Amino acid sequence: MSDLGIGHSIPRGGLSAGHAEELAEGLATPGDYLALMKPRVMSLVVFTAVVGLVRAPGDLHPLLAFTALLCIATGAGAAGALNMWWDADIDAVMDRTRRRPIPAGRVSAGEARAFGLLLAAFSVVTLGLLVNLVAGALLAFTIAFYVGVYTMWLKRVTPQNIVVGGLAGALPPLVAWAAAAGTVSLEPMLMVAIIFFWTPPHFWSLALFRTDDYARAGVPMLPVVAGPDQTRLLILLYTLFLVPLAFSPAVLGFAGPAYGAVALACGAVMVRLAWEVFRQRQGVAAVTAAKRLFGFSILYLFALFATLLGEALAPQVAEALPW
Amino acid sequence: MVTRSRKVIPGPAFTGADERRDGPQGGPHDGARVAVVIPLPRKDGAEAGVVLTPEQQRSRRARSLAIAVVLGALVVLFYAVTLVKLGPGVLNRPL
Repeated sequence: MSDLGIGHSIPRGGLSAGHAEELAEGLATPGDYLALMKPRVMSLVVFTAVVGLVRAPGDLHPLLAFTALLCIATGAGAAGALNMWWDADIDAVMDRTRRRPIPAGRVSAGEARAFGLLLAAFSVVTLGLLVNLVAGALLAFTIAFYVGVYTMWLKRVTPQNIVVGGLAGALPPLVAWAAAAGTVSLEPMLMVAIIFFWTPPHFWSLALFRTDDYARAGVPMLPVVAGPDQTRLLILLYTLFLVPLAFSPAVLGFAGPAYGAVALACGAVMVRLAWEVFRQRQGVAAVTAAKRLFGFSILYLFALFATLLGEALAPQVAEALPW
Repeated sequence: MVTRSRKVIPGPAFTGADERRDGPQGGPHDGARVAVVIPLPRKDGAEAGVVLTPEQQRSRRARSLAIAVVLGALVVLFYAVTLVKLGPGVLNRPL
């Protein structure tokens, strides 16, 4: 348990099933259940999984590849729903999350839990039976890690919550690679490492301009516990480690010159923005610097993986062209 | 806007109160007592039960349609994946 003592009178697991049901029973739409699955997070998961699937060796049938992606997306949605079930008490007091289906009273906590468990079981069993057991086991580990380790344990206990918990968000390309190849190797591990070390600068820059929100909810994010200056220093250090790591696939021969160029150019911008976050410590300039880094970090990860995808698809596209 | 649903029972009923008051602080349920209405059978045979508001009926219909579409899509997916995995062997079986 956290030693912050904020919000700890609230029972873990959020609202009990009976409460929200009495307020707005029967008003949930399919859109509310879709919202439980965190579609924006799911889209990033699917995108990185596509890259893992396309770059993996092996000849997976397109329908099985689609099935693998569907299961990975569903597994991510299951983890999101279970996260919303457990964190309904936190979501209710944060501006960013108070309109989610459970705190808004449109879906009960019990319904969200059942929905999440059903999707988790479906995605793992289907991926294991229809594609392969290695991928199914990795997906089960990913969901269990996100829900059990990050959501239920680390999130309320330590400012390192998103560092360790980031592993769950980093694993989808590895799951997809295993779905196509039946095994794992160094290349997908590098993809996992890139997302893993990208996560802290990304979330801590968000936390820098949402500190009050996290403090009110009792979530021990780094700026709440260690202060903004320590957070700025760690953002810079993680970025300085991330940029050469993101360039390493080009050095190790896993990626081509296009990827190398993108990794260098975008990495330089990441370092500059992280330096700005470290330098600007007061007022509007500090908030603007944090928002710029947060926004660009999304573009940075997208650019890296889009280039990996483009390099893998380019020979096939060239071969398919009639001239 | 959230329309509060109520179980409308046109007959004798027992109304009690749920004492589980450990909801989240500051949440939408803070400080409210939850009414629980338990329907009892009517002697005159009139219809008794849960009466849904029009909004609840629309939501239920949308949920039912969504479940039907998802189940239909899963049937098609599992059928197609079975054919893909079995390949030509699906036709090669002893009579």
